Amino acid sequence: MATESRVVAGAARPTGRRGAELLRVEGLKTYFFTEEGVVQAVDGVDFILRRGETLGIVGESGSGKSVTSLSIMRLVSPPGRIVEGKIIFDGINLLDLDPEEMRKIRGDRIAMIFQQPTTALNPVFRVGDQIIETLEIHQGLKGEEAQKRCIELLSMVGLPDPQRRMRQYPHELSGGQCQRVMIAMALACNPELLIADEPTTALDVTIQAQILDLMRELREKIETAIMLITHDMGVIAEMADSVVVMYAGQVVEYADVQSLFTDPKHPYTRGLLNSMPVLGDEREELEVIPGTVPSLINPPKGCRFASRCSKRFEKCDQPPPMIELGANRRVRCWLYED
Amino acid sequence: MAGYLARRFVQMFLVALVAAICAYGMLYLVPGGPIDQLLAERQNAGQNRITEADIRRVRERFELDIYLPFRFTRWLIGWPAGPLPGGIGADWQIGCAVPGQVRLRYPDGRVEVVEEGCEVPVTMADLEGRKVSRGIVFGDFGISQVMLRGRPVTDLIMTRLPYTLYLMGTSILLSILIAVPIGVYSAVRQYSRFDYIMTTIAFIGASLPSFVFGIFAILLFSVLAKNAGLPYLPPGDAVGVRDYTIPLIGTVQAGSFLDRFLRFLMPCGVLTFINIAGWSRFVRGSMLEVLSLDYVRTARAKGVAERVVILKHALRNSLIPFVTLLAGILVALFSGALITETVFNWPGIGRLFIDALGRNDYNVVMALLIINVVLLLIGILITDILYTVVDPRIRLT
Repeated sequence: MATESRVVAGAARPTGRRGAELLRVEGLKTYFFTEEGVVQAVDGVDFILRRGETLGIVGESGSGKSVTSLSIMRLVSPPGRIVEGKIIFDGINLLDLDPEEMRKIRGDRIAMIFQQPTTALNPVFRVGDQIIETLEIHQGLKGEEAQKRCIELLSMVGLPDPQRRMRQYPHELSGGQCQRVMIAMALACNPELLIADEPTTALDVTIQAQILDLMRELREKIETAIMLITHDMGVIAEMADSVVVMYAGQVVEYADVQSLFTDPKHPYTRGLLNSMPVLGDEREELEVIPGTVPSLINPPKGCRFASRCSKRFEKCDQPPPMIELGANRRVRCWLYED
Repeated sequence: MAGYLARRFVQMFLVALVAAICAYGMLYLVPGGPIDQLLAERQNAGQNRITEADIRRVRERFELDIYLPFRFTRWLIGWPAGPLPGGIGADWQIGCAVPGQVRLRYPDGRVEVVEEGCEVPVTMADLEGRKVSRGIVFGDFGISQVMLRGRPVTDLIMTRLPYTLYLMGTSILLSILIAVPIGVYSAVRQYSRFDYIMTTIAFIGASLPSFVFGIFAILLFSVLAKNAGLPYLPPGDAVGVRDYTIPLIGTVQAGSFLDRFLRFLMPCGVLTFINIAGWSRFVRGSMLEVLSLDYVRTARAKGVAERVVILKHALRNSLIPFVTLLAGILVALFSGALITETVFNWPGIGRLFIDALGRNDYNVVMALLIINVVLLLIGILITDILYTVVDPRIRLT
């Protein structure tokens, strides 16, 4: 195992114990100060990610998943700003770092892959050079050494004929191939944390499965913790160890993947699971959650899901607290108040 | 690539030909012309008459006595210059030296003289011995009919070209060197004070006509500065004719390097300012678009330093549309600035064009128009080829 990961890793970093806390997000608030008002895109998000673990973050569009991940990378662009909270990565609060220190962490210890692989690569540079750039910045690899490592990375992500591929431009590759390149680029420096922001959404189904397989395989090899953002419950079931369910900028439920699927607590989580097609299911129509996500400029005072919730009662006009339901199980719903 | 170029050259030749026909036709369709000009000159001199002989002489000098299609082919390829081989067609009429006159008598007794038919025709044989150019297709622009009276147009252009190249070259180079950084910085610091100031100045610069700036510059740096006893700039011409004294600088010898430099400053400054105004806005817009794209975010997520993100990942992409402007730059380099050169009395190609138009020097006007067309076509071709260099997604087939 050790020798194998060294071959893949090139420059293996001393990693902490598997299962030790790697990332802790506390009370994260990221707001966008637009002309229409302040959009509270992420409004008090907490979660913990352990080494070697895969954390799924689910929620529909506009629930603040992507903004959360960009906040961790500190790549939220104006008018967005992180207003409050802590992002503790391996013992350091990322929000306390100066931009240069943060830059050194990006791409090296925390890497990210994006939703649209074809537009996420720079169209005027060869894909090999884009991978080599990362190696150059963080590991000082140059020339032949960097090329060798690049070929190694490309074959690791299963891109056939890497010598030729690395000399091609992004437009000469398919979406799936581009995503493989993105993954190779993200894994170039053996990051401790890989943030995958809907990595399969833009790909067609067969390619989706291939990319998920690849990520699973590499997770074992490199022992990277993965933060997987998606709106696809199927992807969560396949990949995640634990799950954060987000709604309107808040975490509404946190559980390990098993408990979440067998015993969802929050009405929103139930709604999400019910709206998922199941093979062999005889239902004629899938259930939908009525209504839409509330505006985050003036979010409802009480529970943000209340207007769409079938279990709504008077208490829902008050903001519900996060209620602990045993170890690693939390839900933001008045139904579970004891 | 070779096949592509061959096709492009054929295309370019056809476009240039059509442009030549249109320009030539329109130039002669415009009312006025050498005869009206002669009449005006005579009237100014107190004579109210021009004789038949005068008209005939002027018509011959400007080849107005040859019908337009033949005039055009003579200008284009130097044909017909006389009868066909073996004397064929010696008596074919291809023009009219003196138009015929018909006296019309109306029932109410009024009498009107109308031009109709031809009294003295011009035949192919008459063309023999007349001066004719080898044709513009073969690089002969003909003779200047007014400005240099019978000397080649090329001579005229060559005396003016250095001034224009020098003025335009410097100002274009300066503009690019200044406009690109301003545009990039404005985009990176969007809505900052710097951005607001620069966009406002650029907006003014791009909206006001250039003569406003030219006249303002003369007022400020020549007239007001001189009246206030401050160092001032000479208001026009490329070279002085007599020495002058400037406070703090001393006596400037006419024709010295200093003299030329001082006279160069204002037109160059005005042109540079106007170019910067347009181009910095262009670069800013294109940069802003690129900065919001996914691959810029990817570069940042890789840990690329912000300076490198902007100068390598974003700038390279945002300058792709800038390549389009190069075709125009090639033309501007040759044809100069019509208005600015006129305001500053700068003896460049732009002013030559204005002068030639005003004095009915058809061959000069046509030569400049055609050179512009050809340069524009070449500029577009270069642009297209450059696109494949800067953007790997584009390929010429």
